[in-house]
Amino acid sequence: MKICRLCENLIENDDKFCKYHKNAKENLNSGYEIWKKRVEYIEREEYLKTLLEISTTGTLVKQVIMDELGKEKKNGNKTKD
Amino acid sequence: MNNSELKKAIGVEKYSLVICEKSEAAKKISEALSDNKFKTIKIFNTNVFLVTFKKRNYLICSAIGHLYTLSLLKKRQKLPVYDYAWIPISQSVKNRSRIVNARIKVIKKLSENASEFILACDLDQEGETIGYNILKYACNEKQNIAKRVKFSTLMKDDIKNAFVNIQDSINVNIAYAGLTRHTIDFLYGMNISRALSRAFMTSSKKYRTLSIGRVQGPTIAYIVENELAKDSHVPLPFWSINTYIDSEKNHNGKWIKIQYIEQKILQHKVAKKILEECKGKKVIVNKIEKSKFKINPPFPFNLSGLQKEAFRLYKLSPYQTLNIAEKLYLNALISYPRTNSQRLPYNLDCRRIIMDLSNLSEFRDVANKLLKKQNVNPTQGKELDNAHPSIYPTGKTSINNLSDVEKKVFKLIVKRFLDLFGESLMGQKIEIFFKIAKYDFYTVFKRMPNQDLNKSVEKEEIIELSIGDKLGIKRMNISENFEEPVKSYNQMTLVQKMEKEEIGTKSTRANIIRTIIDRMYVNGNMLIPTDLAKALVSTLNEYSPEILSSKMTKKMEKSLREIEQNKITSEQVIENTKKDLNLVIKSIQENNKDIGKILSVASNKLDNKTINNKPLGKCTICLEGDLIITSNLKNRALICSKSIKNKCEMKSSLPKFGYIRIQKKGCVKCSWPKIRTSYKGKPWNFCSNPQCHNEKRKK
Repeated sequence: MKICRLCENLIENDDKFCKYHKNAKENLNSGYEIWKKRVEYIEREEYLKTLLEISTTGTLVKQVIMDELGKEKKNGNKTKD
Repeated sequence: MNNSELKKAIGVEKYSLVICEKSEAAKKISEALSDNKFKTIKIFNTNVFLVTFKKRNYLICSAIGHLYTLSLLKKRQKLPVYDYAWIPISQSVKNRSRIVNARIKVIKKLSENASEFILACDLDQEGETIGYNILKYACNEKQNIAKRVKFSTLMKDDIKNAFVNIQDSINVNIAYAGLTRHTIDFLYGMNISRALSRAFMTSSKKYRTLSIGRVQGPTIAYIVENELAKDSHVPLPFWSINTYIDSEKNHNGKWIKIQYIEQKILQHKVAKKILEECKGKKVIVNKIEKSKFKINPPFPFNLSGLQKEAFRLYKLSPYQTLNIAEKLYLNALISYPRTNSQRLPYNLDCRRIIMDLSNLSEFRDVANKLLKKQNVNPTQGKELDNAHPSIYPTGKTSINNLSDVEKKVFKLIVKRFLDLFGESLMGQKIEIFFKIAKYDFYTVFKRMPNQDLNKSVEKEEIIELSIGDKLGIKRMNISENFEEPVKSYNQMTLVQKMEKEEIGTKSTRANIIRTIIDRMYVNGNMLIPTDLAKALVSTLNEYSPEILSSKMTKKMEKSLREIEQNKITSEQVIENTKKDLNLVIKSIQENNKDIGKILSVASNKLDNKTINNKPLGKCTICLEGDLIITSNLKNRALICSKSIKNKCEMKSSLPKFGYIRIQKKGCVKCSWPKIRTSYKGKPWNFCSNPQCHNEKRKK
């Protein structure tokens, strides 16, 4: 059994996240589609940063966002190099 | 004390033995039957009361709640275990052994010469069960010949009436249902909790009680699922248009806030378009609708109603409210509180109670006004309880011995009782619809009559607009909002959820929540689930989802009701439970390792000291590491970050509660950090070095 990259919960199959973070990620993705419709258009990164600023965003969702933004930062640095 | 000494102490040859649930109730019954002329006899250091009522002698003794409990016949057995028996509670709970043994001994001794047995325990399933066990085990199988007295308050008249209209037998079916409930809960605890604890032990090599019960399981699942929904919440945006219009005609010249007909606008561009098209346009009154609404007096309190109101007003937990209500009942101030009923007894002398309550200065005016009425008819609610009426004050007003919080709850019950006799009030609702460009807006005014009985002053000012009136926009803007997540449960909302799902009983729900808190499944007043609770729910969902489902417990509650109605036997229900349990235990045992692994990871998280991120300053011993507070649910400690790798010796336990501040200068003697906290509201400075600190204390 592997361990979720965001917490110490065990994960099955080839998932990256435990079922809780996986569910949060799914909500985040479906939420993005709704946000795009409601605000006309929003970049994914802006969407994530906005959610981080809203106090009612769930903690699991915030952890997934931090993970995604962290990854993006790394990728961004690499391309610059 | 031998037989002749006992006879001499009692002083009468023939007596009926009355068994009460609690000593306070025994005393109240004695006072009521003898008009305070009872004789107190001390037998084996326990008070029993001798009274003569209607030329009959009654010896009134009491238990202390349950005197008997279920226990396994053999301690170490393979699961599932089904060998159990009722034993005196003293053999299982050591700290109550002396008092329980004394009560059993007294009842046993007195039952030898009793001519008649009368059960006077609380009139519900639990009371009948307590009495049944005492009659069976302490009184040598007298459960089938014992008589029953039924009363809902400990007031003199009620008790005397109960003894005049004594029932020929106890309700054995209710007792069977109670015994079955205890048995099922015991089997659940003994088997599932043990299976989980053993699974945990195989993986972690440590022992931890992982209790899970028939009602506890679904309740923990509600908490965890609710919290997961909150933690996975993605707030979605919506917009609303805030519009203020002028009101030169009336409303004291204040601006009137009106709303767009759709409270939530789901697209930003739509909100912007409305704003643009409405700018500079006139507001035209389109339609005015007037309707009346009725405000009825409230219903009488049942237990959950009282708990809800006490929580809302005084933040008392359901458990605290239940305990206070029980104390009020034992002081004969209110009727029996463990009731579902929202109805007062049809023959209750309400006028007499109101008259008595007028002795309380703060209710005098309201009570006197009610007494001037020709008829005092209370409102009645819908909920019924066959055993007891709703909670009501008895009219007794001696409350000097009560604590402040007990007085508050009592006054809440009195206030609700007096409110029942108020008259329905009529209010008026005015909805005004407006048109701005092609868009519809509206506003609502409510004219509320004053709650006071004789006055009817309108709270809201009247707005007098007529159709076709044209008004100007004072301000119009768009506000962005986000959809709110579900709210975490608190003790009251959880009780309400359990009630809605029909799990547990009115008496057990508050206790179950308390057990969940004690077992560290939740944290804090908002009942935030710990990792252990999340892991437990996650594993059980996978391997034995039926434990977390309320279906199983609902099915059992139904069976228990059928036992009460004599439609099904206790044995049948227990057999069915065993079948269900066999499947659950098999599933847990088959997945022992996986379950154990998940639970031990979560348990480690709970046990491992979680390090707070903020350093409180530099360590004054090694001068390198940061001082940090580590805590788990039981303890708190101040450590140096270097001490984790054994590079610094700085480790000091802290008080469990209160703020912690590190003083700039370390201890003069030992240079360890000095801590400032508070003890009983007063500031407290001490050196974190336990040896230095202890030396000072010794001096």
